[in-house]
Amino acid sequence: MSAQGDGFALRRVLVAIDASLPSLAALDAAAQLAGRLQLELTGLFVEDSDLVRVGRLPVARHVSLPSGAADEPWEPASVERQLRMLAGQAHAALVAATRRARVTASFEVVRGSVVSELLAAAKRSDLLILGSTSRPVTPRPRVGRTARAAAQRAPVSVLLLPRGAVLAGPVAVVYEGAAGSEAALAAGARLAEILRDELLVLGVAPSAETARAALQAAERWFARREPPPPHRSVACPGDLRGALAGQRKGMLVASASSPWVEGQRPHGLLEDLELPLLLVR
Amino acid sequence: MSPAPVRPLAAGELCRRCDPETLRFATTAELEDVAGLVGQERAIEAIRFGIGVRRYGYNLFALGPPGMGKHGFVRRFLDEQAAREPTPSDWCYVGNFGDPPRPRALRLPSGRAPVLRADIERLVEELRVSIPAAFESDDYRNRRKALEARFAEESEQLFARIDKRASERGIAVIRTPVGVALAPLRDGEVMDPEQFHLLPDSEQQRYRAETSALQEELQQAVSDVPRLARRHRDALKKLEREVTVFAVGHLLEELHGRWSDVPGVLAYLDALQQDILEHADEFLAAPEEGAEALASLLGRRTRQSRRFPGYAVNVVVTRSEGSGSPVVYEDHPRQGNLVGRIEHVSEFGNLVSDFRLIKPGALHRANGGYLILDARRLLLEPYAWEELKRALRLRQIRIESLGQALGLVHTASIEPEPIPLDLKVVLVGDRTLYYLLAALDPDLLELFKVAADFEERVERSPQGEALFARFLATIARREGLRPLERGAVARLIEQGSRLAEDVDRLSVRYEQLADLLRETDHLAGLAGRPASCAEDVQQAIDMQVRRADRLRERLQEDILRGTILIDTRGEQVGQLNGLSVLQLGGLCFGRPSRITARVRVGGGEVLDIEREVALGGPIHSKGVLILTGYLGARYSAERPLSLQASLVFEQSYSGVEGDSASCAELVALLSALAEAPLRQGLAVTGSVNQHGQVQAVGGINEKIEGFFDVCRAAGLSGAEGVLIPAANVKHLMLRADVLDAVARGQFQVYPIQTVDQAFELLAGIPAGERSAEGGFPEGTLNQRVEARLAAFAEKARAFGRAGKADAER
Repeated sequence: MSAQGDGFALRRVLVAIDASLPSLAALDAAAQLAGRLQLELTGLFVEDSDLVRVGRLPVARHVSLPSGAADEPWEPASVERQLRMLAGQAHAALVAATRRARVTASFEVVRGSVVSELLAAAKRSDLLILGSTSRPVTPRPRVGRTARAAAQRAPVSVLLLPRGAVLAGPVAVVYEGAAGSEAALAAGARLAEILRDELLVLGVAPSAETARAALQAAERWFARREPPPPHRSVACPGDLRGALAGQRKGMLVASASSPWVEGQRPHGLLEDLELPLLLVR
Repeated sequence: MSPAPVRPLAAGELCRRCDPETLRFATTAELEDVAGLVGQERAIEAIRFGIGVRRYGYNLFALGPPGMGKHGFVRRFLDEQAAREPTPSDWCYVGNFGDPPRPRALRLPSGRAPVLRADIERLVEELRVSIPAAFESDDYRNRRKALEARFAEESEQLFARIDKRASERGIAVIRTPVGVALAPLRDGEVMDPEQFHLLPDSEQQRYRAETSALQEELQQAVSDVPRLARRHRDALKKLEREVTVFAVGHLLEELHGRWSDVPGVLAYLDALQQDILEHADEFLAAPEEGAEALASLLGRRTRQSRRFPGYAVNVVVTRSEGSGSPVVYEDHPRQGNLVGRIEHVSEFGNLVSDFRLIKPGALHRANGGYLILDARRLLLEPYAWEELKRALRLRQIRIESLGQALGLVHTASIEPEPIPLDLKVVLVGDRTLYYLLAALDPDLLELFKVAADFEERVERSPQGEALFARFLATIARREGLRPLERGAVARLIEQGSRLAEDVDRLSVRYEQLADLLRETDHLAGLAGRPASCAEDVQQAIDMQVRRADRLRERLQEDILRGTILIDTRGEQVGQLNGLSVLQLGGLCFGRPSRITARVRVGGGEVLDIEREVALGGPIHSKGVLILTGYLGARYSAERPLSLQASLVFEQSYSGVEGDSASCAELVALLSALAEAPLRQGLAVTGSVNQHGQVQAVGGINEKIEGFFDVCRAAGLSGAEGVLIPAANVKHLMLRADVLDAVARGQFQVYPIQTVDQAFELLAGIPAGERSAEGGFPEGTLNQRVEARLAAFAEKARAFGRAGKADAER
């Protein structure tokens, strides 16, 4: 995603679909955005080369979930069949989502390392959308390897959707007055307009004074807009992550280079957050 | 059988008048009310007995003719009794938390069911507030979060250990679409199979062993997750119960204190508390915001409809304390109205129900008291009688829909716990119904052991007349009518005897008398009189007759115009006027019918033409067969009765029933045999036995008046009259115009005891008595009959001989 002037311009959106529930939530969000902004939507299914190799390794072992049954070594044909089935499910989900959103989309299937293929494909789009959690093994969904890689290394903006999350307002923008904060503000303002919901500017800083200072900078940005987008500013000194935990309605927008986001590592923010998170680049 | 001379009855013998001077009051305003009905000592005794015996099956059947006032009397009697009795318990239905399709019945002291209902409603309202408040507290949220964190941590630790060990041993743990795979790792990716095969055997074996060992560990970890989850759920449940107890405990304790005297309620409150503890989350469920999809809407509605399902009280019956036992009259005793019913509501195309939709029936309302039902209406309602009997037999009210009871409906429904039944049922109906039921339904006498038989007539003595006058006074006052002058009462006493068809009895049919009093009062009002007089009564009676009299007039007109052939003058052989009675609507009237007989030689058979064409009823046919017996025994004992006779009711096109014309038929037959003409001015009624004795019949007044009307219209010559059984004289309460005609000698009423008397009067020839030698005097009627029959027998024998000779030739 790139912010251009007062708003932000999107043309192509890439959504990663592996037929898991978080990826289906990501798909719905992508179709929704594409429909409202008339974007080119591409669905990508990556046939994980690790899985293909597992099928060909005689020493590989497998445990089924949720039963815990030990399977015999996988046959390559069985792996291929499962990958085809998942790709078929992903395609069907894409068709259904685009029909609901009245938008057209293309569907690509590639084979390789999931992270590498996804990051490579992301270069051809303005926004990468994907689910933030992997298929759960433990009761608490964990942030997936792919999501972590995309958040850190994607060449474009990334929208991460936790399991069950939907794209909805209010749109809360993390504003610290640092580099990239204005891009996040522009993206947040545009999303609030698209979602026809409230725009919240969170002045994030270690102290109340610096938080207020950050908000004053944000106000100056708004003052340059014509007309200034409606918004509400909230100073958030201290523990914003704790305040966000348990929130289930709305979305969070931050710069990918935000010091606050950087400070949440390793992956704690994504683990706790139940809201969609847009990392703007 | 010597015919005694028959004298016609004097006018004074044809009606028992009531002299107003014998009544010791001016108007009925001076008279005291009578309590209840007159002359019902037997019925009252039976009702009192039935009420007093508090045992199985001692229910009552109040029987008697319609219009007796049985319903009102029973109601008043029971009301008085019930007011002195203790008030029975309240009943309600509550949810059965362990088995919802079988709601529990709860007995409470009288008047307290609504209190319990209000208590539970208030409790639910408070729970709606206190439980969410407790669950929204920071303390609860923190403890819940801690539990969740511990569960997540413990389960993650299971896999983290495996992840760590795998990583240390160069094994990749990969999530597959259906599980978890373990494979050798190189440069952050699963090792290429070709590279793997290049590894030394020992290395390959190591990987094989490592992946197998890790697979076992992984299996163990996966199998440990449900155990952890269950422990987590139990811990959460415990926490929720703890919080719920905190939120609701004091509320329920307060209720326990208030209901400590009712063990059933305490048990219910315990069950309620247990259910609340287990389903506290129902109080937390809130509709999802913005979920407009159909599935969400359906889900929400279903959830709402299930909320607090058992936390209510359905008050089935309640009574204020000290109000006495209930007396209930169910006017529409269909099955559902008796035993109650279970209503259903439609929910997404299904009919569903719960204990809140149980509706009580008359048995619930009358439980502990009395239920009055009209027997005829009860029997007309499908399965109502059977359901009532079942309830009485089992001594409990079991609510079941008709469809379920008949096995026609098998949808899921509820089966409320039966309620113990302790009441007296009083069925009110007519005697025919009672006797039919008693004969056909063996349950009747088992379940309705006490019959209260209402008498429709009382003795007409001076005391009886005085009581009857008070009865009239009571009706007048109860109906808000003018008082009656004693002349009016005297006329009503005469009418009472007329309605009772007995000079020594008075009819006490409440409705019949009340109708007459209402109409009398109306006429008195039109005339501007403060009290009704005898003329008003007579006019009311005349108007009653007049209103219903159209058909009688038409029939009489047909007779006078010769359409229906009835002679009232002259003489005819084998032809006689019989008398019959028609009951049409409220009017009963008599009419003459021409009866004719023809005779010839034959095989001893009297042919009843009515019976041959299936217009004669069995009793009529019996009467005709008796004639054959009489003829054979009296006139042809020593020889075959070689007679072929036919009898017919001329111009009768509908059925003939009863034997009251058998005397007339016999006389017509004897006339035909003796070839003796009969006086057509006299009509005959009475049944006859095989010895020729004439027996009493019904409707005697109407029969005499019916013939009198025809004769008067044709013109009275003094030769007209009616022959009636002597046993019917005590039933004569004839109209004043008939009495006048008799007094002037224009019309006669002859009481007869034998057929010979009737024959002699009608033929004007002595009947004749059999002498010691065995024959009848020459020229008498009987001699002529016997001679004719002998001639028939001789002819028959001659025919027989000739026929035999022809055959031999």
